[in-house]
Formats: sequence, C-alpha cells, structure tokens
Amino acid sequence: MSRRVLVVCPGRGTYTPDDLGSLARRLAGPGVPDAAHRVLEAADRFRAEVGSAPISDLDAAPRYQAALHLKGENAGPLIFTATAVDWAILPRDRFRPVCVAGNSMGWYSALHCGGVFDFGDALRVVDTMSKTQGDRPLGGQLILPWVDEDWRPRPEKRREIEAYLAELRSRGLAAEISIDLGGYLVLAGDDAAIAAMKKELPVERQGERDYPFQLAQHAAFHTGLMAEPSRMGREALVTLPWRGPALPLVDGAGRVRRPGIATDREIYEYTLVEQVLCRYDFTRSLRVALREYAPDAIVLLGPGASLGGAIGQTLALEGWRGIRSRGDFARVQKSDDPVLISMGRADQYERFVAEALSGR
Amino acid sequence: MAVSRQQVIHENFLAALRELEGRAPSIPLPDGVTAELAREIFESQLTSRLIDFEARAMKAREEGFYTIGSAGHEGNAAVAAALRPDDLCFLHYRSGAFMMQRSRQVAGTTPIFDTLLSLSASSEDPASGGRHKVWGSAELNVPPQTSTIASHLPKAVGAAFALGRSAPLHHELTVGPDAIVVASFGDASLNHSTAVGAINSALWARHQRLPLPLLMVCEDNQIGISVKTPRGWIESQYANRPGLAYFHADGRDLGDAILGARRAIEYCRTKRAPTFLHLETERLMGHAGSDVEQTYRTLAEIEDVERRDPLIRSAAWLVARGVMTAGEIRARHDELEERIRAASREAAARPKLTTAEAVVAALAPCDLVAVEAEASRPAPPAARIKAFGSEAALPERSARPRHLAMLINWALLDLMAKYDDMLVFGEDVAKKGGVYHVTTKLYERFGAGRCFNTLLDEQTILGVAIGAAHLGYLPSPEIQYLAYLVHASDQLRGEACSLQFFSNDRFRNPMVMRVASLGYQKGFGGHFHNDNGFAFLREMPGLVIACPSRGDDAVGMLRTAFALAKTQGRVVAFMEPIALYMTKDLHEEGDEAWSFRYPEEGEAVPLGEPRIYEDGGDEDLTVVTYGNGVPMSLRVAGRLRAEGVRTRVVDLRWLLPLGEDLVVAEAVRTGRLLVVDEGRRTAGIGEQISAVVAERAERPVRIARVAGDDCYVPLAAAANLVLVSEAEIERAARALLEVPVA
Repeated sequence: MSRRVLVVCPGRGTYTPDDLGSLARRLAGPGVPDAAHRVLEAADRFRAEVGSAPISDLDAAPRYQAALHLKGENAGPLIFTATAVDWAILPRDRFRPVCVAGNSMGWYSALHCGGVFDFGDALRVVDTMSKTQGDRPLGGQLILPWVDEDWRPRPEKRREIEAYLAELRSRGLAAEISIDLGGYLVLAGDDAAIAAMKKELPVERQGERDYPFQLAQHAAFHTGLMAEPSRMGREALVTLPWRGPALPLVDGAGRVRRPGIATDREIYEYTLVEQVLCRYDFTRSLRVALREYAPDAIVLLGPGASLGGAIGQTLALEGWRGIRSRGDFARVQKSDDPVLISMGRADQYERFVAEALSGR
Repeated sequence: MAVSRQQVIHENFLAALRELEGRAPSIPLPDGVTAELAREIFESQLTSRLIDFEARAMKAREEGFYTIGSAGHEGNAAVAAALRPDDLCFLHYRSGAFMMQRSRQVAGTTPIFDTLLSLSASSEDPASGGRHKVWGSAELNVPPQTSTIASHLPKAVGAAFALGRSAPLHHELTVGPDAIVVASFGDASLNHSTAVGAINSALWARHQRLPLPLLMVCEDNQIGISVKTPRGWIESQYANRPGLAYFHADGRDLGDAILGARRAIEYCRTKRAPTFLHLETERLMGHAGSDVEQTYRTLAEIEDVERRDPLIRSAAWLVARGVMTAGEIRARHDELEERIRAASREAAARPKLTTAEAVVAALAPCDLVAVEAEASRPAPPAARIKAFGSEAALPERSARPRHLAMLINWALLDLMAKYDDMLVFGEDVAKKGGVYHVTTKLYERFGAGRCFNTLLDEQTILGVAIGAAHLGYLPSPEIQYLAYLVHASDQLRGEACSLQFFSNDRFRNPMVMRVASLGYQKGFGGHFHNDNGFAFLREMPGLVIACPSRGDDAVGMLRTAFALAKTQGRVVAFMEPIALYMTKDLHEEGDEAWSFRYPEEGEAVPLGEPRIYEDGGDEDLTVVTYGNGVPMSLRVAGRLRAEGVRTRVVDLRWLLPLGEDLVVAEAVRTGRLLVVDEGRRTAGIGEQISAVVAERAERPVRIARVAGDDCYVPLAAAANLVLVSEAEIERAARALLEVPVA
C-alpha cells in the first residue's frame, strides 16, 4: 500500500552529536539505492572543489566539535547532504510524496526534493547562503516554548513575548520572531537584542532544558538584518538554472508553489529575498500542507529527528486527527499507523523504511 | 441504479480529455496571458468542480449539508485572477472557482479544506463557524453573504460609495485607495427589486459624478431554478444604460473570460465608476442537489447544456494553445480528486456546533464593561467646541431645559465631534436638517462629506450604512418614518444583523439607525407618519432597539448606542417618538416638566437599564411602558396620586433585548402590573412582557394590558380611536386596583 506523504526537510541544528557517523551507517544499510551513495559522492566532490572538508569526513569525525560541525559553512552542507541522502532512499512506491515543506534552511532542501534543483545546484545554494554570514554570525537566534509541557497553547505567553519584542524594538534594538516553530518561537535580533533577551526573558524549564537558550552559531536568520546575505545570494546564484517545482512546495509563508504554476522567477525571488528577510512560519506551512493535501502521514527526512517535536506540536495545535496534546501525539506515534515517520530515528527507519527497502 | 447527471458530467470531461490526447497545439496564447496563469485559473476551475462533486458525495454519506454548487460558473475564476486581494468582494453562492483562485493571492490560506469544513458544517469553518455554507473569508476580504436574491447589492453600492468618499474625508482605509468593490449575482436575481434599486442608486450617484468604483458581475446562466431568463434580457437592459459601463465576457471561454474581466476591472479601477460585467456561464447539475432538472428541462436540453461544459472548453483551450497536454490535465485532475477526497475525510471528522450557546455566541457580542467605558469617554474638547461654535455654546452650559428633538440634535453634534468616522445620512437630513430638525447644523458643522442626503430609497440608505461600516465608518442612517423602514427591513434582518452571526464575528457592520417613530402626532397624521407597529424589528436576532421618551435619556442612550456599535459591532435601531420631539410639558401647559438639561459628558444610560419613576417605594401598582406611554402613564399616576394611589412607572427605554428579570421583579414588587404598549396588540411588546411575568413571577401578579388596536392608524382625530389613550390607561389601572393582591 502506498501512503500519500508530506515530506518535511529539517533546518539548521538537526545534526547533533548523536548523529555523528549516521550518514555512513545509513548508506551502509541494506537495500540503500545507488542514488543515495551518489549524493554523498557528489557532495564530497563539491566540497573538494570549493576547498572545504568532505562531508563524509565531517560525518566520520571521531568526536563532535561545535567549532567544526556547527559552523555555518559546514553545518548547512552537512545537513542538506544528509537530507538529500534520505530523500534518495525514501521508497516512493510505499511513500508517495504529495507535497514538500521545509524548516528554514530546510527550504533549500525542499527545493531539491521538489525538483527545482538537482543535488549539485541545491548544494551550491546551501553553500553560498551558509557562507554569506561570514566568519561570525550576524546577530543570533534564541528558542523558547510558548506552549506548555503538554503542548497546550498558552496564547498569553505568546502575547507577552511579542510585547517584549516590541519593547526591545522601541529601545532601538532589532528583535523579531524569526521562526514560528510549532510550540516554539525562535527569536532573532542583533547582538544587543540577544544579550537583552538572555538577560531579561524569564527562564522556564521544560523537560530537560532551560529556556530560552541561544542557538549556537546561528545568525538572525529570516529578519531584515539579513539584507546583505540576501543581496550576495542573489548576485551569486542568479545564474543557476532556476525552475518551477515538480512537486508542490509549501513555503515559509504558507504559499503552495505548484508545478506548472510557480515560475522560476517567483521561486528565485522568494528563496533569496522573502525567505531570507521575513519570518519563516513553519507552523503555517505545515498547517497548509496538512489541510490542503491531507496526507496519510508526514515523513521527516534526516538528519536527526529534533524537528519532530515542532511537527507534533503543530499537529496538536491543529487538533489533527484528534491529537491535542503531547500525550495524544505519543499515543498515535506508538500505534501501527503513526502520523509522523522520522527517517532520522533508527527505530522508525527500521520499521517503515528499511522494511520497504528490503522488499519484506 | 440510474446514472446521475454528476456522473455523466464527470465522464464527459474525462472522455473529452481522451479525445484531446495527442492533439497538437495550433493557436498562440493571447497577449498578456501566460501559460502559468492559464494553468492556475484552470486548476481553480477544476478544484471547484471536484469540490462540487465531493459535496454531493458528502451529502450521500450524511457528512455534508449543502449541494448548491458552482458547476458551470467556473469562469468566475478569471474575474478573481484579475482582482486584487484588497478589492472588497460580496459574492453569490456559485463562487467556488472564484474563491479558489482568490485564495492564491494570499499566503497561508487553505481554500479546499475551508470549503469542506463549511460543507460539513464544522464549527472550525473559518467563514461562519459552522453556521452556514457561505463564501467568506476575513483574510480574503470577502464578507460572507447568505443572501441569494441580490440583497447584497445595496451594501456593495454603499461600500463603493464610501470608498469613493474616503479620500476627501481622510478616512483611514484597510484597503488601497484604488481598491474597488465587487458584487456578483445571477441573471435571475438581477430581476429582484433590491438589485434593480441598488443599480439605480449607483447610477444616481454616478449621474452626479460621485466616484463609485463598483464592479457588478452578472453571472448569466440563463435560468433561475426552473424559470428561463428570456434570451438577450440582460444585455437589453444593461448594455446601453446611461452611466453604466457594460462589458461582456464569455465565462465558458478561458481567454475571453480572462481578457474580458481584465477590461472591466481596469475600467472600474481607473474610472471609479459603476461597471457591469456580463459573464456568460452555464448551470450544470441543477439548481441544487435536491433539484430534479428533468422535471422542467428535456433530456436533450440538459445534454445540450452539458456539452457546453466550461471545464471541457477550458481543457480544449489549454491543449490547443500548448499550455497543457491532455495527459497533464488528467494527472492534475487525478491528483486534485485524490486530495479533495482525503481532505474531505479529515474535514468531516472536525468538531461541530453542539450547544445552543455555541451557535448564539457570535450573534450579538456584548462586553458591557467595554461599552460603558466607551459610552462615558468624552469627545475631544477642541472638537466639541468646534462642533458647537464656542465654549459658551457647549450644551451642558445651557441652563434651560430642552425638548427631545433639540437634545438629540446636540447629542449628534457631540457624537460627530467624538467619532471622526461617523456619518449621518438619510432623506432630507443635510441642509434641511431633517423633517423635525433633529439633524440641524450637522451639515453646516461637519460638511457634506459626513452629513448628506440620500435618494428616496430606504434599501439604499441601509445599504450605504452597511457598506460604509465594512470600510470602517460608524454610520448613523436616518429613516424618516418607521413605516418607511418596513420594505427595507431585509437589509437589517437578512444582512446587517446577520453578519456577525454568519461570519463568526469576523466581520462587523456597526450602525446606529435613527428612526422617527410611533404615533400621536398632532396635526400631521396618517398611517405612514404615525405607524406604531414595530414587531418586525423585535424578531430580528441580534438587533438592539432603543426608545427614549425624554431628551436627557435620549442623549445618554445615544452615547451607549454608539459605544455598542463602535466596540461590539452592533446594529442599533434608535426609535425616536415623533410626538415627543417637541413636547415640553407634562402635566399642564407651560410646566416644562418634560424638558430636560443636557447630561454632563460621561453620563450614559447603560444598555437595558430602565428609568423608574418611584412614588415612595411602596407602590400599589406597577406600570411598565415606553415611549409616548411614559408621559401618559405619569399623568395618570398623577391623577391617581390625588386619590392616594401610588404608582410605579417603569420606562423600559431599551426594548430589545427585553430586560426580563427587571420586568418580573418590578411586577412582583406591587403584585399589580399594567402594561402600557402603544404598539399594536398582536405581536406587540406588551404580549412579551405579560407572558414573561405570567411565566416567571414567583408570586401571583395581576396583569392587565392596554395596547393599540390591530389596525392601521387613520388620519386626524380618528387616530386616537385606535391608539392607546390616557383614559384607557386610567380605566385599566383602576380596574386592576379593585382586585386585591395576594
């Protein structure tokens, strides 16, 4: 039976210490198609061309080094390659993609999955955009939840955060919501705003973590502070063979970029202007994909599975298939027909993907 | 099992695609039409059609509750494509393809799922919260219309008029300065007097060179349920109408629809003038799911219409121009069909309205704290001084008590100073200052932009109010006489009062409609000027009815009425008793006991609060009344007082919603209730009051009622024979007093 699936591409920060070696392990698994191997080879060739460490070396590093693995020019291509490998592996006869969404940098991966770019051109986009922030990120990002631990919405909490950001702006600081990420908000700002947020926002413990916390090596993505990266990106990437998508792509504003309808120009403008300079509303994009395509399941491509939390939270905010809390989501996930299949999770990969690959 | 027309139509389409397979493109795309645009519009058309099919499938599964579809009208997607998202659209019920296309102009919208939620009457339906299947969306600037018979045209005219007025008034708009207003309707509903009147009003304004950027889209499918529109009728009536720009487009032809819609919209946007787009369509699958077309159309006729299916025409158009191959169209069809079916299963499982409280929640928002705060908020001092001419002329400085008409006039001056967006309009309200001078000086002080005469048509007056309210104005239409309101009452009942309900409070059309009302005018009589029947207003859900009997109350009540409109979006009918406008005295000539001083700024009469005329607090009899009944009852009470009888007179002031708890408490207090209702006996408010007390009083209350006869009000002194008289009140009171209370 083939399931109609929404494919979601993760963004920065999803290749964690736990994922070291995951790419090699994935490719060594049974039934992995050649196309997936070729992705990594192409990635390494590209990296050699631009004088950067091969992706396979990053993945094979004996230990995880923040300075190496989190640095934009490495993190972006590493994550994108891992995503593209999963995309190449995804058995389409079992999981039929009906639309593709991404989170933040995941939009570039979505362009590849959606057929706008082949792997090499998409990697060039990722590489270029990762490097536009230079040696030091411009501003930063902080993450914090606006839902409670059981993923119930706290609109008043959200309003407080928004009011606080407005207050920071009234002090002359650059402070915005950078990403609407399910139950989380990713805030972005210039260095002074980030310092103020770290000092002034109340600390809240959820699960094992204290919030807010700063996302290492992240710049103030999706805000007006990214004007220069946007300009540089346009200049460097205008000559790429931009195309309309082959699969529906849901962008970070919740617009569906449809095959035969979205033009190459629109994709170029959105990708390098609006997407870079304006809030990425992942929640909305997922909501649109769920409602308009009503997929049987969501497939989250790797690396890692940390975006699964935000996806689960979005499902709970939507009340999708009766999911209204973290507990509901966990229950559905444990069933034989989970709503989210994370390829970056070994158990789910084994159960749903490896099984399909081996033809069992 | 018989094959349904839906199956035939669907199969015809798929067969047409098979026939188109391998067909080589032979015609270039028209200038200005890109392949992407053509594909997008076609996708909107196809989506709409497949939703129509799904609606019937949902109905069969008992998961869907509405089958009036858009099949055959898909050409309206081309109109949507040529519009901007800030053009305010009042759409009729065959607008599926229009909505699919329009939603593509706004990020984050989910038109397929939203439509399916609406069809399944889910409480999550964003258009109406599950209250009706309507085409509506706040994000898309489409206020939902429940009207089927073009009753949305007057407000479309009103909105276009208000849009044209915004620049000179420096009114802040949520739409662009060159936005237009769109109203779509069918060929059959265009015959309705409401439509004819609305178009007349638009042309009346245009004749005076007033800007009125209104695009009227007549989607002509040549039939209204079973009644055919005579061939050429629409064109014969509107193609050569002075002041009306007529455009024709064949909505069945993708290219003609796109280019024709563009031409019409371009004209309307740049000329700011009424524009008529005659869009030819077909009607497939009958009027609704329940309509058996075979009873009035021959099979040959039905098949003939089906052969003209615009969707088949669109597919052929695309293939001939190399925009899509038949295979690509088939693939798109299959993908959409699958998606819609999957989404329909999800939508059907979403929550429904399950309690009466939830149904009623959006009908009449009423945050009394916010209302009272707004009502007591004073106007900016400088604006008041300007409105009244000088500081010394401020009305609260005037020591002399005044009659109702003058105090209402002052209140209106005051309110216009308070609300920059307030408009006063109606017949004769401007230079003349109204038949009873209640609007005097408003025109002089605030200019023709904010106080203006309308043509003689109450539907238009209320349409202007609703339309202006949609654009952020605070309208105060005046209806010259209560009887004149009756024929326009659907503009209140079906349109204004229903908007919050059917839009789940996403849209509001606040207004305070003033109406010179009720009987007892001396020397100027006759039915139309003395009408005492207002039962038609009392049954309108969501409406607030206020009826002051004295000037100071009127001022405080107007403050609250405007606060209700401003903060809660409510529609208020403010009934002003004509006979009390100039009344100064109460008990005897010259006593000036019915003249009052202007209330201080900040003093308002809370919604639902009555004025109670006590007589010691331990009275023998309660009189519940309003309007002219108040001074009459007070005079009777005065006479009874001389005999040692003490009467408690309750002036309700607010007639809808009726303060039932209050009425019961007041009746129980004395055990004797006399209801003085100057309206008609049948369906009058007296019935409601009596019933409430009879049902709810905890101890026996002796109830009597005096009311007007069930009769029209005749001329001259004969009027008094059928209206409530003081003598009648006195007789009823005495009769009540003769019965001992338990």
